[in-house]
Amino acid sequence: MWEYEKRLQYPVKIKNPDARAAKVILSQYGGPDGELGASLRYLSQRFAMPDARVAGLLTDIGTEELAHLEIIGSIVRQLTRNLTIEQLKAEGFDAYFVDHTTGIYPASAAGVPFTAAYLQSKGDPLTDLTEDMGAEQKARTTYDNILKLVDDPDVIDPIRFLREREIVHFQRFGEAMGMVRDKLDSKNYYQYNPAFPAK
Amino acid sequence: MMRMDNMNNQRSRLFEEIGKISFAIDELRLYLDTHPKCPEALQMIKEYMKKRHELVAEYTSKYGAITAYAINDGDKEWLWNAGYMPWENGEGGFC
Repeated sequence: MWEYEKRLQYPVKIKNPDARAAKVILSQYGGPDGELGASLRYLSQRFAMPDARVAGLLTDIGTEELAHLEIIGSIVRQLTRNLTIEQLKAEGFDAYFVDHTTGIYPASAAGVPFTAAYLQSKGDPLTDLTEDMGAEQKARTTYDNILKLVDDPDVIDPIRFLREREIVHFQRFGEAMGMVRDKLDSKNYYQYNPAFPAK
Repeated sequence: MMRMDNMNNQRSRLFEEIGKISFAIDELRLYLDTHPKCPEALQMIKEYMKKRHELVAEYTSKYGAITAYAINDGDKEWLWNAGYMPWENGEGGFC
């Protein structure tokens, strides 16, 4: 069960529309390394995670990713509010506009719709946590790239916040990996899946 | 008008305080997930939770609920969806 709070985890207060920035930031909504994929990945993987502490971490980080999805949606919403047809044409937003107007749709910056193929839930704690660490790094790189493409301080501020969270999550997943390894059977030298078959 | 602005400022300030303390708790929650016995973090989260509880109670009694299980609106109208949605930055509603 989740309880909705009517507030953003980090405030988004953008004054000026910018369709070009909206288009690249939208990739963190439904793109290959975006927040939707992140939340689905962790919230799906947790079911097969045998260590309750790590299953709890996946729940908490997966939940925070949903809040990040909301922040990205807010940024794109505010960047595309009050746009004129001339502006959105000049800023390369017409291809998105024809299909979605200024609605928020989970797709990559290049327009590829979101797919579950962006994530895996392998049912092996070490495999899943390794993917999670990689996922946090890929999202961090994407935010780095976004920061090279935007110049409005109102946009840079929440993007920097989100970038920093990727680093914290990476750190926590690394610690979780250690927690799982510490509990491995000493005979499981090659670190076969400790979750299946269940003992 | 002056009084109205003042009220909005107070509301924004309180809302901002809730956001800040909530984030500190979010960060400590993840930290404690992997450091469940850290005494400093346990003490900090306890203090922040208490403070947050007070701030949210004050906000809710003055301006209405921000949390779905704390809706305590009047008898005549459903106010949960009144005002601004969080993503609107004060256009069409309060943020």
